[in-house]
Amino acid sequence: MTTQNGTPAARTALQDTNALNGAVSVRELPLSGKIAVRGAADDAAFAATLAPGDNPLPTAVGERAEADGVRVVCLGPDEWQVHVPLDRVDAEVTRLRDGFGTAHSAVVDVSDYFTVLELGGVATREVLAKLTPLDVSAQALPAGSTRQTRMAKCTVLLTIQSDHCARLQVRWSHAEYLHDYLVEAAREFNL
Amino acid sequence: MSANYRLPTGGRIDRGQPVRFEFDGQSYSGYAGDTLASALLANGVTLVGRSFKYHRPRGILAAGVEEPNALVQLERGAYTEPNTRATSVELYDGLQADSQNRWPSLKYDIGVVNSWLSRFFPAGFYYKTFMWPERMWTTYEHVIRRAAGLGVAPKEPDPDRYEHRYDQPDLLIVGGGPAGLACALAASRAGKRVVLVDESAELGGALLGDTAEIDGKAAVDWVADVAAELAAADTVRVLTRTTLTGYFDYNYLIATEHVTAHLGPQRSDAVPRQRLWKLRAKQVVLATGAIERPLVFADNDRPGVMLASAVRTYQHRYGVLPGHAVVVFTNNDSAYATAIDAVGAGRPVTLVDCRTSAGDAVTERARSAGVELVFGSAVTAVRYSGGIQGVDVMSLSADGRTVSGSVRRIDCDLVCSSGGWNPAVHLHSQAKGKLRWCEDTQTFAPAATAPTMAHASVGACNGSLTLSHCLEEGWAAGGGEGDGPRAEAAPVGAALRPLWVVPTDHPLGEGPKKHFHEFQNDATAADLLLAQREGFESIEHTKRYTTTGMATDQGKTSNVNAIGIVAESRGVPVPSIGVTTFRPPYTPLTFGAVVGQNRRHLFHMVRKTPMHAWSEAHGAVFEDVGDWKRARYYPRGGEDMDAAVRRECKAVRDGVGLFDASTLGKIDLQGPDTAWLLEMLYTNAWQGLAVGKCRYGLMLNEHGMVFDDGVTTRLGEHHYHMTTTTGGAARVMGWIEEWLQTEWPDKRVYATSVTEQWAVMALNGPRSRELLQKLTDDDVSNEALPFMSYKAVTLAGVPARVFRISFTGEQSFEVNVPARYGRHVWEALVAAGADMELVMYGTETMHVLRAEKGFIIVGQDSDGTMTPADLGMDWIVSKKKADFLGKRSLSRSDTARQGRKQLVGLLTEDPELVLPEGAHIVSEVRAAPPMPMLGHVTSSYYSPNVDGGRSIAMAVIADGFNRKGSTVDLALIDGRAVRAKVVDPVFVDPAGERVKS
Repeated sequence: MTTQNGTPAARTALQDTNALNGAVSVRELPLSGKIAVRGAADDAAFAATLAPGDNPLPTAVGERAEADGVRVVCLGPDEWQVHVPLDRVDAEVTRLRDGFGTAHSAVVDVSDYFTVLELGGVATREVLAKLTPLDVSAQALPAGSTRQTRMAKCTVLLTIQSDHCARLQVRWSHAEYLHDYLVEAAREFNL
Repeated sequence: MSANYRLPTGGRIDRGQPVRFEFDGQSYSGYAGDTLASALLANGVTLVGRSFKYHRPRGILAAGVEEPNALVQLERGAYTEPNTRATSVELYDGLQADSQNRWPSLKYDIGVVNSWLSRFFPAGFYYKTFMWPERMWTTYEHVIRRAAGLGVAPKEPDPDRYEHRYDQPDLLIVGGGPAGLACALAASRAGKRVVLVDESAELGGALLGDTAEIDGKAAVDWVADVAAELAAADTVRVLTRTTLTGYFDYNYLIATEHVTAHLGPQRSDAVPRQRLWKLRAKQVVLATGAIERPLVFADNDRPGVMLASAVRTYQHRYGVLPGHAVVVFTNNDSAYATAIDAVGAGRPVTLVDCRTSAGDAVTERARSAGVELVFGSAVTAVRYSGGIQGVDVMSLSADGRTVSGSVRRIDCDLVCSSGGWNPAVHLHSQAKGKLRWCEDTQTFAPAATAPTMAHASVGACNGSLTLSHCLEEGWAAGGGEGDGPRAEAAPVGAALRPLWVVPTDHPLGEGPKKHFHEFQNDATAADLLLAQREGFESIEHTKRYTTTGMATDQGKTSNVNAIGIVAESRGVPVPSIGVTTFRPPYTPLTFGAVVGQNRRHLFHMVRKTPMHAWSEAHGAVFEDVGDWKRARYYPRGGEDMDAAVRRECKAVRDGVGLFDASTLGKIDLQGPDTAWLLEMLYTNAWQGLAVGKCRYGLMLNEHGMVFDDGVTTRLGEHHYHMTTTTGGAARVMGWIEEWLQTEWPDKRVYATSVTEQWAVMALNGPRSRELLQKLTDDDVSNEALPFMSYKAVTLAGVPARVFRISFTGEQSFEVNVPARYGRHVWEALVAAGADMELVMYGTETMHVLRAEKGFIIVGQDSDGTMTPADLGMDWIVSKKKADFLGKRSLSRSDTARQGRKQLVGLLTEDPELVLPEGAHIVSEVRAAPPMPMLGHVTSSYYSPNVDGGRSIAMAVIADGFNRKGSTVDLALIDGRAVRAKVVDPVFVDPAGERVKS
């Protein structure tokens, strides 16, 4: 049994929403793979399996490590999120579960739970500062920083890609609200 | 009214840019750089409002935010804003302002009758008069409310945009006067991240109205140089037109920036009108300056009586000197500069000093300038008739309590008064800082700060009233090294003479003259004395009794005077009286700024399921469930809700229906102790649940009351999938985390919310398997996927989890697919069901179908006081388990007693009557309420499936189980009394065969 054209149609949270293009841009990125991982960093098998490539496992909140297209972000003392290409999620889930063995852990595919909005433009930090009490200045959050924080009324995993680009990972059902909030915050820069 | 008080030269106004404006409908002209106040004064407009209580004519007292009198209604219609201080409103072309608190006109105001009757309106008048008889207050209130209050709130929605903005400076400097600028300069050069806020349109503070020199150049030129340096610094953000309105715990402060508010109504809303800055500062430096306090003399509220420093500011900053002949009345040296400068502008000036002498230097300068000096005297009367005509001056006794000798009349049209200076300690006080009494300046200045706050006060707000001290303190607070900006040290002066109330030839409070210490709330010195006589000894009580300091200006000019007057009347030192509390906001802020961008669609998120757009496109009507939009019903061809729901209900029982259940809470549980956790969370047994099997459970809180329910499925050895109610999802997640983290940290379970990972569609009805099988090659037969089991399948080409669980009592499949495929699978089911008369149904039909089976909705049929037994669900409470959450409470005497309210079914005698939910079941029908109540209806619907169509209801009734088979009375809110039979709440398929088919 297959669908009419043979390819199941995947949709994103903001499939029907147009990207905002201007001095400040707001767009939804294509669906990506995300895996929630819980466990104890001091368990050798766990840490060795989760750490990407030759990197040590990041254990400070907001710290991340990346190798071979797999990025591991530390979200809490016993909580990580693994970012992988969508087509590698199932394999990665299996690899992690197998590697963790009997270590107390949880591995959950949350690829669809979240979507990622990308904010771009020279006023990126100005726009962010309208949404969050977190210090988003270049001094406090240089390029490459990741924080989980409150933005407007949403919990967001914020990654500063560069001074002019930020990614906001948010729950599927909060995406429309967050998108609209960003568009409003960007208005003065898009005249 | 046509007088011109504009000086031929001078001021920081742009004389090449005339600006037209209207006040009370009359046209005037001013210049760019004017405030509304300076432009009104330039045009000779001294009467700008009527006072709050006595409707006395009032003019402009000050030149800054401390202005208590000149409150105007700015603009009209949707843009109108009441109680704006004319001294803070920058003039813009087309500005429209109206005076307040007058009727029918400012000049002829009927409320002035309050002034003639003032002896009948003492302090506390309302408390004393209208509290008896108590029941009459509501009548009095209508009349009083109409007469009271200043200004009118707009009735239209606010057309402007507002926004919030966060920042986290190393150093926040409040005030851009000499101290604040010196501080900013030092901090900027040290590379600190600085935010400098100033409420004015340009930096400089008091220097803009002064003739001082700094670093050998005019102070205003120094200001311009500093402003340029700060503007060029990367780490410094200068916010002008920004008022620091509140200082909260742990150095969290809010400031209101006028982005376009000073330009008047805007056609474009591209930028916000105001921006509320939310600042978390590592260190705060307060450089908020000092506010001059008026002398409290007879009729000191007459238009044309102004603060001495304000007059000087109008002269130097705005090129306006609002009088032709000037009297300056002072108890200190600072007002001499006003007198000297006014003479310099060609005005005759008499300076009345209540002291017997002043500082040598200022005396010499005043004399040589040509100021007439009158020492040891006091102004005892202000002669006023449509404008000031002159003042009476008499000799003041050595103790300051009496005046004597002949009355000297001095003709003048402007009276400047100075009673000393009050450091603007408001923000220091908001930050819970302590105050100290300064004997030499007779005022309060900042002392210790609270431990959770990191701030310092510098300059005049610290009690340092000379320019050189302001610069030194600011520079040091900014971390400045070496020499900072310098000003000439002030010459040694003479001490201020405290004179809290200036006597007249009448005892205070007698005769027609009034000594106002508090202008905005019309509180007099006599009111304070009355409060003392009546025993309001605490200054906080006096404040509330007399309303001193309770107006929108928070007593900026009145506070210390009030404390001084009280101290003097009681014969005790001023600091023994204590101080009242300054609270945010420093100046009023708009509701718009408080709300910011959080309104309309940005007020709160609206959560939508992956299938929402499809349902919307197919005409679904939605309802709000928590933050979610859920399809309520899918009307066809003009159906109303009743018709649509009857059709949907029937179609599900007869064929197959499709329902979007994505909003259900879902929690992924992993770990070897998960079964143990489930045993604790739910009332029933979970250890024996096999992999691939589902079980329904009730969750109780510690009180044994039902708070959520749902189905949990064992996906693997140590892996479970829990569902919760839509509204309870976050609560259950929090509940699990709380127990795991606080009580059971040794248990090995991880909980992950997966609510939005899965799009969920429920197929219900006798033909649902037939439809499901069309889209999968996997075996979903009753043998392969029996009731209460789970199977992973490929459905419409995508991976799916299918749960054989039911909320309708029908053959049912809850299909879970990753959210990205929700729309795809939904549409595939719709297409496959086209030849099966598949119906889409919403939450309303779901409610009816579950009620037909007697399935509860937690929160609708229960209300936080219902145990499982009350709900007739004792069968789900394990009698064998050692423990579960809520177990202990089920054996409490009240929880376990007989006769509690219990859930039953109701069938009305009239089968067409659908009871209103909430209707009362009573033990005795009476002509009118109250009637003894047995319980209430919790759920009520018309069911097309029961007895060929009739109403059904669920209700909680005292001792309900024992009443089954009997008839009860219901008293409806419309007055009708109806009867219904108490039955089991299972109306369809009581044997439960359909769900297993």
